[in-house]
Amino acid sequence: MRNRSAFMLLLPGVLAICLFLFFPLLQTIWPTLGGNGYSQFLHSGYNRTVLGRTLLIAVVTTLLALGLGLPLALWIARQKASFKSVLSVVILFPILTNAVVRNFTWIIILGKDGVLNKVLLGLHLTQQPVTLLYTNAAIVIGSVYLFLPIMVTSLIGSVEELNLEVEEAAAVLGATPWTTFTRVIVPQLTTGILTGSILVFAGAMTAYTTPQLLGGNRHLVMATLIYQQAMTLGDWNQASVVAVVLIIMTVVVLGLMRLVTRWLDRRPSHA
Amino acid sequence: MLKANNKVLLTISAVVLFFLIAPLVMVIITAFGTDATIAFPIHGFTFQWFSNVFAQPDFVSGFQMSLVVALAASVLALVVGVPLVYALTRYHVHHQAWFQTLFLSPTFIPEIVIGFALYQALVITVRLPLLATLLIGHFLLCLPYVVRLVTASMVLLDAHIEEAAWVYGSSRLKAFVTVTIPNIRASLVAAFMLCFINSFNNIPISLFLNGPDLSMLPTAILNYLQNNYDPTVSAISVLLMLFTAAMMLLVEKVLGMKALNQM
Amino acid sequence: MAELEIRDLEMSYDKHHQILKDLNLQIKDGELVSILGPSGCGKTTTLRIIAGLLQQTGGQVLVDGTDVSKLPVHKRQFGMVFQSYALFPHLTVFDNVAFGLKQRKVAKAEIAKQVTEILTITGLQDLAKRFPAALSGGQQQRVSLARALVVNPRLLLLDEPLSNLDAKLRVSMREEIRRLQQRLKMTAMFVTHDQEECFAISDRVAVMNQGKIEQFDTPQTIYRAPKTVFVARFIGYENFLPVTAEAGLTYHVNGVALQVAAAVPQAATLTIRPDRIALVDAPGANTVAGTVQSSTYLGNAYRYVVVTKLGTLKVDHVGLSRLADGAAVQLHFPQDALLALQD
Repeated sequence: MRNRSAFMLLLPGVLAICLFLFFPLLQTIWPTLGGNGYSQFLHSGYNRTVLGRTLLIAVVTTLLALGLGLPLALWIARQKASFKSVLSVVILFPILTNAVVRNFTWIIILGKDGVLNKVLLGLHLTQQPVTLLYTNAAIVIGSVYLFLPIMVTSLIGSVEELNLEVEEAAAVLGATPWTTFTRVIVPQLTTGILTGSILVFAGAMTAYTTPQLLGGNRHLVMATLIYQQAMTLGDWNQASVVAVVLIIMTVVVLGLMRLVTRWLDRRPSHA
Repeated sequence: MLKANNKVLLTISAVVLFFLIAPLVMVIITAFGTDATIAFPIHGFTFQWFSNVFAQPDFVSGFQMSLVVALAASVLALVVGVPLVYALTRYHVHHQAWFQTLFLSPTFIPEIVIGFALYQALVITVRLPLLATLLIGHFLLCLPYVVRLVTASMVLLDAHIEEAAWVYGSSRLKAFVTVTIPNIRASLVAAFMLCFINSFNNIPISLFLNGPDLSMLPTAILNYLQNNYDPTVSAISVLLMLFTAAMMLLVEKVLGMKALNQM
Repeated sequence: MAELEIRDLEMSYDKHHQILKDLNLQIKDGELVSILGPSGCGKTTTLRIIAGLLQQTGGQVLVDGTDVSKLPVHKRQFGMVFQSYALFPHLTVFDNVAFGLKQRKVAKAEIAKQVTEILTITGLQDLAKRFPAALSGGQQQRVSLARALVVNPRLLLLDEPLSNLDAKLRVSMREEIRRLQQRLKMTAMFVTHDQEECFAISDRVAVMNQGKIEQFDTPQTIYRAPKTVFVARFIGYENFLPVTAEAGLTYHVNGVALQVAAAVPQAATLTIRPDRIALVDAPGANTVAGTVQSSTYLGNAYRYVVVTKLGTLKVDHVGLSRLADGAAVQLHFPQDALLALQD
């Protein structure tokens, strides 16, 4: 009797996922199997470049977000409660702000007549406006800007769980702040680092808006390639192939990240 | 010891915070300039770009459409999500972790792929109306937020409280409404807000699912931005930021700062 | 209020794990019965089945002779005090206590009257408007009790209600529970793993082990005459001597003949409490020689570990001076203190 009520409560959700997610995905994947779509995809040097660019942008974005996010998270987590919640709101605000708006800011900054070029010309660091927008670097900057707050949020939770006495013990034993940071704090944050990195990596790898706005048509990534194949070129089969490759690549890299972290974090797991 | 007032830490944090906030402040300023293209620093001062926002039919109808879809998708996600979370946290369901993963699975699929797959399967093959498919896509986007937030608060809520309500004469349904819901209210509101904001802001899912009379606000801005470079976009950015701030303020007023930090 | 009878109760989550086996228990009207046992023995499961929170796989729960097994929990009209108190966090003390009466559709004025009355009895009248989060553990416990008592339940169930309180509060709360239960003449079932608490509060005690009741008796009888090794061990007997041969009132342990006051058929073990072993000067009947191996100061006595032919024994001795390690002693077992046990 009780199992039946649980079943009834779960049923709508299970049906929704099966009908609206799994069925459409199978519909997309099925026609790509059997044909030579995948070998065609991999044989094209252009496609390989796009795949490589996508991976590179995601990796660099994740590393930068981690490098910038870690100190900020550490600093925020150790402020007084009232100041901390103000800072948390400051971090939350961009997360909840439309991605178009956040990417748009970088069009203004990086454009040919943009803020950054004005500064560079004004300081006579360059004679000609530098091409900043519509480059891989622009996509990376935009992605870091987009995903940094998510990284910081994941890390703050992890930092708050740290036992301060462990760091005091390190200090008593003669550790400098830098040693404490690298040898004591960071090793204890693997869970938060992994969570944040997974979110940022998956986000940067599959994002559409940022590469579309900051990369332009000449710097396609997998997500923009899907759209181009389907809507501009009308090649639905090839678009499906790209979609499947994107899913597989994301899953593979995330799996690898998990493995590496498990290898780095050989302490007995609590989960 | 790495103290909170460590100079190096403070400097890096200040720079990173500047990196996060300054661009948004700059956009706000550019919305008030009189130049025909976006310039920073601005010349003059005008509200004309704000009135221009409302003169764009795409923006106005997109806003309405985004509002309706986000509201409907969030409600739908709660209606489907809360019962299944209740089942997973209050009954001994076999393969519980497996179900949990199932309901979070939309987060593992790139949003653009979800939009693409829904368009192919539901719009082309099943011939479902575009609006219904769009709603389904946004529902898939929302469901994991409900599952995650509500599960967390159901796990924290002492299950004996519901049992006490049963012992003192409430049926399961009545106990859920009078005892469980008041105690997970914060997570329900937070989940609704997150669903609403994320659906409202979403682009990739809506990308394939728009038509001549079905355009969402973010896609409308994206299209506008690809053809124009005037402060109208800055103005609508300001409005969207105000919108976000209003939502956050609402959560803070209804549930307090703690709930906001949970989001 | 009511009589409770548990008949052949069985519970298993799957084929391999049987939690309860053929459990039988009767509680008379107005009686407070405790189930005492270690964690995992099935005592809480039994209580939850009686409450209707769990469905048994076999057997019956009868209240005043009527089987309530099929009755859903919210129709049983019991009261229950949970280990975590389980107060409704979103309701005030007053509304927490009024909850059950509201479900029973009692008139508003009557609810106010009854709630006020029970809050006065439990000493909570000044806290009526507070929320649970603003109460101490002891106060929360009182609210939980008041909430259970106000509905005038047919049966009052208490699931380890004192285990989250500090030692001092535990003693005063258990006295209060006993006082209220007797004053309101409630039939009550109390589940605990604390022997002292259980003896202090109960009319009768059921000692439970691995899903079975090992002994069901008054506290006095259980303390004086535990029937099994498990019961003896659980209530503080520490010396257990394996019987090698028996004849009437005489049992042989490793060749030493020991006399007991009451024989038990097929007894396999003799037991005695450390404080009932006497240190005597000369050998004699029921006496064995030994050597002190170590000693500990307990405050009111010295605890000696003594090596004897019977095995290593624990002996508590009240004395001014402490025996040195290695000292030779004679241990005497008074006949009435030495108990024969079945396994």
